[in-house]
Amino acid sequence: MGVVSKLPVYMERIPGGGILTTSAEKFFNWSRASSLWYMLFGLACCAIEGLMATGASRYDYDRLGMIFRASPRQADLMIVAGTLTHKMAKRVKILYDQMSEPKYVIAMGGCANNGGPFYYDCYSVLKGVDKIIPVDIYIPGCPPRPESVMEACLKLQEKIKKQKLGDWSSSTS
Amino acid sequence: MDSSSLLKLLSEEYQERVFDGKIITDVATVSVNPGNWVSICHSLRDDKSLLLHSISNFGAIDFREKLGGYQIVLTVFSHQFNHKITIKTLLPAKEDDSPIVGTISGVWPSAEWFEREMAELFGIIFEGHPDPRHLLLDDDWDEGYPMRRGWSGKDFVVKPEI
Repeated sequence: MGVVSKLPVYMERIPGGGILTTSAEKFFNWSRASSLWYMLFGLACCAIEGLMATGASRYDYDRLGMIFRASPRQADLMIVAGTLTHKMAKRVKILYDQMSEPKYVIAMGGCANNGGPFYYDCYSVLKGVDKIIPVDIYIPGCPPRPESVMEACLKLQEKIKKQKLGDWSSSTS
Repeated sequence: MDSSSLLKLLSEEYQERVFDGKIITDVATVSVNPGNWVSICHSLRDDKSLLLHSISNFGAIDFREKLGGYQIVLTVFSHQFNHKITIKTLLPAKEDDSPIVGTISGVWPSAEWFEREMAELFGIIFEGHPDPRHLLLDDDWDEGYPMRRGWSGKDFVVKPEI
Protein backbone atom coordinates (compact mmCIF):
# COMPACT_ATOMS: atom_id res chain seq x y z
CA MET A 1 0.00 0.00 0.00
CA GLY A 2 2.01 2.94 -1.32
CA VAL A 3 0.65 5.87 0.60
CA VAL A 4 0.14 4.10 3.90
CA SER A 5 3.71 2.84 4.10
CA LYS A 6 5.06 6.28 3.28
CA LEU A 7 2.78 8.22 5.62
CA PRO A 8 5.58 10.03 7.44
CA VAL A 9 6.93 11.31 4.14
CA TYR A 10 3.69 12.61 2.72
CA MET A 11 1.98 13.85 5.81
CA GLU A 12 2.95 16.16 8.59
CA ARG A 13 1.22 16.72 11.82
CA ILE A 14 0.11 20.22 12.47
CA PRO A 15 0.88 21.11 16.06
CA GLY A 16 -2.13 21.47 18.26
CA GLY A 17 -4.64 20.00 15.81
CA GLY A 18 -5.67 16.63 14.39
CA ILE A 19 -5.31 17.64 10.78
CA LEU A 20 -3.14 15.70 8.37
CA THR A 21 -2.11 17.16 5.04
CA THR A 22 -0.92 15.20 2.06
CA SER A 23 -0.44 15.61 -1.64
CA ALA A 24 -3.88 15.65 -3.20
CA GLU A 25 -2.52 13.91 -6.27
CA LYS A 26 -1.10 10.99 -4.32
CA PHE A 27 -4.30 10.67 -2.40
CA PHE A 28 -6.53 10.71 -5.47
CA ASN A 29 -4.34 8.25 -7.35
CA TRP A 30 -4.12 5.96 -4.35
CA SER A 31 -7.88 5.90 -3.91
CA ARG A 32 -8.50 5.39 -7.63
CA ALA A 33 -6.00 2.58 -7.91
CA SER A 34 -7.27 0.82 -4.81
CA SER A 35 -10.95 0.79 -5.67
CA LEU A 36 -10.92 -0.16 -9.31
CA TRP A 37 -14.50 -1.27 -9.80
CA TYR A 38 -14.86 -3.20 -13.00
CA MET A 39 -17.88 -3.66 -15.18
CA LEU A 40 -19.46 -7.10 -15.16
CA PHE A 41 -19.35 -7.49 -18.87
CA GLY A 42 -18.29 -10.59 -20.76
CA LEU A 43 -18.38 -11.22 -24.48
CA ALA A 44 -17.07 -14.76 -24.95
CA CYS A 45 -15.00 -17.50 -23.33
CA CYS A 46 -12.54 -14.98 -21.85
CA ALA A 47 -15.33 -13.88 -19.52
CA ILE A 48 -15.16 -17.26 -17.79
CA GLU A 49 -11.46 -16.85 -17.18
CA GLY A 50 -11.10 -13.13 -16.73
CA LEU A 51 -14.22 -12.22 -14.79
CA MET A 52 -15.41 -15.39 -13.10
CA ALA A 53 -12.32 -17.50 -12.39
CA THR A 54 -10.21 -14.47 -11.52
CA GLY A 55 -13.01 -12.99 -9.47
CA ALA A 56 -13.60 -16.19 -7.52
CA SER A 57 -11.87 -17.11 -4.30
CA ARG A 58 -8.70 -18.72 -5.64
CA TYR A 59 -7.41 -15.59 -7.40
CA ASP A 60 -9.80 -13.03 -5.94
CA TYR A 61 -10.11 -9.55 -7.40
CA ASP A 62 -11.44 -8.35 -4.06
CA ARG A 63 -8.02 -8.19 -2.49
CA LEU A 64 -7.08 -5.50 -5.02
CA GLY A 65 -10.20 -3.59 -4.07
CA MET A 66 -11.88 -4.62 -7.30
CA ILE A 67 -15.58 -5.27 -7.07
CA PHE A 68 -17.83 -5.97 -10.03
CA ARG A 69 -20.51 -3.49 -10.91
CA ALA A 70 -23.41 -4.42 -13.13
CA SER A 71 -23.79 -0.87 -14.39
CA PRO A 72 -21.38 1.18 -16.49
CA ARG A 73 -22.32 4.25 -14.48
CA GLN A 74 -20.60 2.87 -11.39
CA ALA A 75 -17.64 1.25 -13.10
CA ASP A 76 -14.09 2.55 -13.53
CA LEU A 77 -12.65 -0.32 -15.51
CA MET A 78 -13.91 -2.20 -18.52
CA ILE A 79 -12.33 -5.58 -19.14
CA VAL A 80 -13.15 -6.39 -22.76
CA ALA A 81 -13.18 -10.14 -22.32
CA GLY A 82 -13.73 -11.88 -25.60
CA THR A 83 -14.55 -11.67 -29.27
CA LEU A 84 -15.95 -8.32 -30.31
CA THR A 85 -18.22 -8.55 -33.34
CA HIS A 86 -19.15 -5.59 -35.48
CA LYS A 87 -22.69 -5.84 -34.19
CA MET A 88 -21.57 -5.74 -30.56
CA ALA A 89 -18.94 -3.06 -31.17
CA LYS A 90 -21.56 -0.31 -31.23
CA ARG A 91 -22.98 -1.49 -27.91
CA VAL A 92 -19.52 -1.59 -26.36
CA LYS A 93 -18.88 1.96 -27.52
CA ILE A 94 -22.14 3.05 -25.89
CA LEU A 95 -21.23 1.27 -22.65
CA TYR A 96 -17.80 2.87 -22.68
CA ASP A 97 -19.30 6.31 -23.21
CA GLN A 98 -21.65 5.73 -20.30
CA MET A 99 -18.81 5.09 -17.87
CA SER A 100 -17.77 8.12 -15.84
CA GLU A 101 -14.24 9.50 -15.93
CA PRO A 102 -11.65 8.38 -15.02
CA LYS A 103 -12.13 5.17 -16.94
CA TYR A 104 -9.73 2.45 -18.00
CA VAL A 105 -9.89 -0.42 -20.46
CA ILE A 106 -8.13 -3.78 -20.42
CA ALA A 107 -8.22 -5.70 -23.71
CA MET A 108 -8.17 -9.33 -22.69
CA GLY A 109 -7.16 -12.15 -25.00
CA GLY A 110 -6.25 -12.44 -28.64
CA CYS A 111 -9.70 -11.58 -29.97
CA ALA A 112 -9.88 -8.26 -28.15
CA ASN A 113 -6.28 -7.38 -29.02
CA ASN A 114 -6.42 -7.84 -32.78
CA GLY A 115 -9.08 -10.37 -33.76
CA GLY A 116 -6.99 -13.39 -32.75
CA PRO A 117 -8.29 -16.62 -34.26
CA PHE A 118 -10.89 -14.62 -36.19
CA TYR A 119 -8.36 -12.44 -37.98
CA TYR A 120 -8.42 -14.27 -41.31
CA ASP A 121 -11.48 -15.10 -43.42
CA CYS A 122 -13.97 -13.59 -41.02
CA TYR A 123 -16.62 -11.05 -41.91
CA SER A 124 -18.17 -10.47 -38.52
CA VAL A 125 -15.40 -9.77 -36.00
CA LEU A 126 -13.85 -6.39 -35.24
CA LYS A 127 -10.08 -6.74 -35.49
CA GLY A 128 -9.00 -5.09 -32.28
CA VAL A 129 -11.04 -3.33 -29.63
CA ASP A 130 -8.65 -0.36 -29.85
CA LYS A 131 -10.30 0.57 -33.12
CA ILE A 132 -13.31 1.86 -31.21
CA ILE A 133 -12.16 2.63 -27.64
CA PRO A 134 -8.78 3.53 -26.13
CA VAL A 135 -7.06 0.61 -24.40
CA ASP A 136 -4.70 0.88 -21.42
CA ILE A 137 -3.47 -2.69 -21.02
CA TYR A 138 -3.34 -5.55 -23.52
CA ILE A 139 -3.22 -9.15 -22.27
CA PRO A 140 -2.15 -11.82 -24.78
CA GLY A 141 -3.44 -15.39 -24.56
CA CYS A 142 -6.35 -17.49 -25.66
CA PRO A 143 -7.68 -17.24 -23.04
CA PRO A 144 -5.12 -15.63 -20.68
CA ARG A 145 -4.52 -17.35 -17.36
CA PRO A 146 -6.03 -15.64 -14.31
CA GLU A 147 -2.47 -14.86 -13.22
CA SER A 148 -2.03 -12.74 -16.36
CA VAL A 149 -5.25 -10.91 -15.66
CA MET A 150 -4.15 -10.17 -12.08
CA GLU A 151 -0.81 -8.97 -13.44
CA ALA A 152 -2.63 -6.67 -15.85
CA CYS A 153 -4.64 -5.20 -12.99
CA LEU A 154 -1.46 -4.60 -10.98
CA LYS A 155 0.12 -2.95 -14.01
CA LEU A 156 -2.94 -0.76 -14.39
CA GLN A 157 -2.68 0.24 -10.73
CA GLU A 158 0.93 1.24 -11.31
CA LYS A 159 -0.14 3.26 -14.31
CA ILE A 160 -2.87 5.01 -12.33
CA LYS A 161 -0.43 5.86 -9.54
CA LYS A 162 1.82 7.65 -12.01
CA GLN A 163 -0.96 9.90 -13.25
CA LYS A 164 -1.00 13.63 -12.71
CA LEU A 165 -4.17 15.20 -11.40
CA GLY A 166 -4.66 17.34 -14.47
CA ASP A 167 -4.30 14.70 -17.10
CA TRP A 168 -6.70 11.94 -16.24
CA SER A 169 -9.22 13.18 -18.78
CA SER A 170 -6.64 12.97 -21.55
CA SER A 171 -4.83 9.89 -20.23
CA THR A 172 -7.50 7.54 -21.47
CA SER A 173 -7.37 8.74 -25.02
CA MET B 1 -39.71 -46.23 -42.16
CA ASP B 2 -36.23 -46.91 -43.46
CA SER B 3 -34.68 -44.73 -46.13
CA SER B 4 -35.17 -47.05 -49.09
CA SER B 5 -38.92 -47.43 -48.48
CA LEU B 6 -39.17 -43.68 -47.87
CA LEU B 7 -37.48 -43.05 -51.19
CA LYS B 8 -39.83 -45.51 -52.89
CA LEU B 9 -42.87 -43.80 -51.36
CA LEU B 10 -41.64 -40.35 -52.36
CA SER B 11 -40.87 -41.22 -55.95
CA GLU B 12 -44.20 -43.06 -56.37
CA GLU B 13 -46.63 -40.69 -54.67
CA TYR B 14 -44.98 -37.41 -55.70
CA GLN B 15 -43.58 -38.51 -59.04
CA GLU B 16 -44.80 -35.43 -60.94
CA ARG B 17 -42.90 -33.06 -58.65
CA VAL B 18 -39.77 -34.82 -57.38
CA PHE B 19 -36.84 -36.18 -59.36
CA ASP B 20 -33.30 -37.39 -58.87
CA GLY B 21 -34.09 -39.51 -55.80
CA LYS B 22 -31.18 -41.21 -54.07
CA ILE B 23 -29.93 -42.21 -50.65
CA ILE B 24 -27.11 -40.02 -49.37
CA THR B 25 -25.50 -41.03 -46.04
CA ASP B 26 -28.54 -43.13 -45.21
CA VAL B 27 -31.02 -40.30 -45.81
CA ALA B 28 -33.59 -40.40 -48.63
CA THR B 29 -32.87 -37.34 -50.78
CA VAL B 30 -35.00 -35.90 -53.57
CA SER B 31 -34.76 -32.79 -55.73
CA VAL B 32 -37.60 -30.51 -56.75
CA ASN B 33 -37.98 -27.53 -59.06
CA PRO B 34 -38.03 -24.12 -57.35
CA GLY B 35 -41.59 -23.60 -58.55
CA ASN B 36 -42.76 -26.69 -56.64
CA TRP B 37 -40.79 -25.88 -53.49
CA VAL B 38 -43.63 -24.61 -51.29
CA SER B 39 -46.22 -27.07 -52.57
CA ILE B 40 -44.05 -30.14 -51.99
CA CYS B 41 -43.29 -28.94 -48.46
CA HIS B 42 -47.02 -28.55 -47.79
CA SER B 43 -47.77 -32.02 -49.12
CA LEU B 44 -44.98 -33.69 -47.16
CA ARG B 45 -45.99 -32.08 -43.90
CA ASP B 46 -49.65 -33.04 -44.36
CA ASP B 47 -48.86 -36.61 -45.45
CA LYS B 48 -50.30 -38.83 -42.72
CA SER B 49 -47.90 -41.66 -43.49
CA LEU B 50 -44.83 -39.42 -43.06
CA LEU B 51 -45.71 -36.99 -40.21
CA LEU B 52 -42.72 -34.76 -40.94
CA HIS B 53 -43.37 -32.15 -38.30
CA SER B 54 -40.02 -30.57 -37.58
CA ILE B 55 -37.10 -29.08 -39.44
CA SER B 56 -33.80 -30.70 -38.64
CA ASN B 57 -31.58 -28.78 -41.04
CA PHE B 58 -32.18 -25.97 -43.50
CA GLY B 59 -29.48 -24.17 -45.41
CA ALA B 60 -28.08 -22.92 -48.68
CA ILE B 61 -24.89 -23.57 -50.64
CA ASP B 62 -23.29 -21.31 -53.22
CA PHE B 63 -22.96 -23.63 -56.24
CA ARG B 64 -22.81 -20.91 -58.88
CA GLU B 65 -19.59 -22.20 -60.38
CA LYS B 66 -20.43 -25.88 -60.26
CA LEU B 67 -24.19 -25.99 -60.91
CA GLY B 68 -25.04 -22.41 -61.89
CA GLY B 69 -27.00 -21.35 -58.85
CA TYR B 70 -27.71 -21.62 -55.16
CA GLN B 71 -28.80 -24.94 -53.77
CA ILE B 72 -31.23 -24.99 -50.88
CA VAL B 73 -31.14 -28.10 -48.72
CA LEU B 74 -33.89 -28.91 -46.27
CA THR B 75 -33.94 -31.91 -43.95
CA VAL B 76 -37.18 -32.61 -42.16
CA PHE B 77 -37.65 -35.07 -39.34
CA SER B 78 -40.50 -37.08 -37.89
CA HIS B 79 -40.48 -37.59 -34.13
CA GLN B 80 -43.22 -40.21 -34.34
CA PHE B 81 -41.51 -42.46 -36.88
CA ASN B 82 -37.89 -41.42 -36.28
CA HIS B 83 -37.19 -40.93 -39.96
CA LYS B 84 -36.03 -38.01 -42.02
CA ILE B 85 -35.84 -36.94 -45.63
CA THR B 86 -33.84 -34.32 -47.45
CA ILE B 87 -35.28 -32.08 -50.16
CA LYS B 88 -33.08 -30.02 -52.43
CA THR B 89 -33.75 -27.34 -54.96
CA LEU B 90 -31.43 -25.39 -57.22
CA LEU B 91 -32.14 -21.68 -57.69
CA PRO B 92 -30.50 -20.52 -60.91
CA ALA B 93 -28.48 -17.32 -60.55
CA LYS B 94 -25.90 -15.43 -62.51
CA GLU B 95 -22.96 -13.49 -61.12
CA ASP B 96 -24.62 -10.96 -58.78
CA ASP B 97 -28.21 -12.05 -59.05
CA SER B 98 -30.52 -12.52 -56.13
CA PRO B 99 -32.42 -15.77 -56.65
CA ILE B 100 -36.06 -15.89 -55.61
CA VAL B 101 -37.97 -18.74 -53.99
CA GLY B 102 -41.17 -18.95 -51.98
CA THR B 103 -41.04 -18.98 -48.20
CA ILE B 104 -41.89 -22.15 -46.30
CA SER B 105 -42.34 -20.35 -43.00
CA GLY B 106 -46.06 -20.89 -43.52
CA VAL B 107 -45.45 -24.64 -43.57
CA TRP B 108 -42.98 -24.98 -40.71
CA PRO B 109 -42.86 -21.74 -38.67
CA SER B 110 -39.33 -22.53 -37.48
CA ALA B 111 -38.10 -22.01 -41.04
CA GLU B 112 -38.52 -18.29 -40.55
CA TRP B 113 -35.16 -17.69 -38.87
CA PHE B 114 -33.31 -20.05 -41.20
CA GLU B 115 -34.65 -18.07 -44.12
CA ARG B 116 -33.73 -14.75 -42.54
CA GLU B 117 -30.19 -16.00 -42.11
CA MET B 118 -29.98 -17.28 -45.70
CA ALA B 119 -31.42 -14.01 -46.97
CA GLU B 120 -28.75 -11.90 -45.27
CA LEU B 121 -25.77 -14.20 -45.85
CA PHE B 122 -26.53 -15.43 -49.40
CA GLY B 123 -28.89 -12.78 -50.75
CA ILE B 124 -31.65 -15.23 -51.50
CA ILE B 125 -35.07 -13.57 -51.61
CA PHE B 126 -37.83 -15.52 -49.88
CA GLU B 127 -41.09 -14.27 -51.30
CA GLY B 128 -43.84 -13.73 -48.74
CA HIS B 129 -41.56 -13.93 -45.71
CA PRO B 130 -43.40 -12.44 -42.70
CA ASP B 131 -40.36 -10.75 -41.12
CA PRO B 132 -37.56 -10.08 -43.61
CA ARG B 133 -35.17 -8.29 -41.24
CA HIS B 134 -31.54 -9.23 -40.62
CA LEU B 135 -31.02 -12.01 -38.13
CA LEU B 136 -27.30 -12.15 -37.30
CA LEU B 137 -25.79 -9.22 -39.14
CA ASP B 138 -26.16 -5.62 -38.09
CA ASP B 139 -29.28 -3.79 -39.21
CA ASP B 140 -27.27 -1.27 -41.22
CA TRP B 141 -24.93 -3.85 -42.76
CA ASP B 142 -24.19 -2.70 -46.30
CA GLU B 143 -21.29 -4.88 -47.44
CA GLY B 144 -23.19 -7.43 -49.45
CA TYR B 145 -23.63 -11.12 -48.74
CA PRO B 146 -20.64 -12.55 -46.90
CA MET B 147 -21.30 -16.25 -47.52
CA ARG B 148 -21.15 -15.88 -51.29
CA ARG B 149 -18.00 -17.20 -52.87
CA GLY B 150 -15.46 -14.51 -53.67
CA TRP B 151 -17.05 -12.00 -51.28
CA SER B 152 -14.83 -9.32 -49.78
CA GLY B 153 -15.56 -6.54 -47.31
CA LYS B 154 -13.65 -3.56 -46.02
CA ASP B 155 -12.05 -5.27 -42.98
CA PHE B 156 -11.84 -8.67 -44.60
CA VAL B 157 -8.42 -10.35 -44.62
CA VAL B 158 -7.98 -13.46 -46.74
CA LYS B 159 -5.77 -16.08 -45.18
CA PRO B 160 -2.48 -16.23 -47.09
CA GLU B 161 -1.21 -19.49 -48.54
CA ILE B 162 1.34 -21.08 -46.24
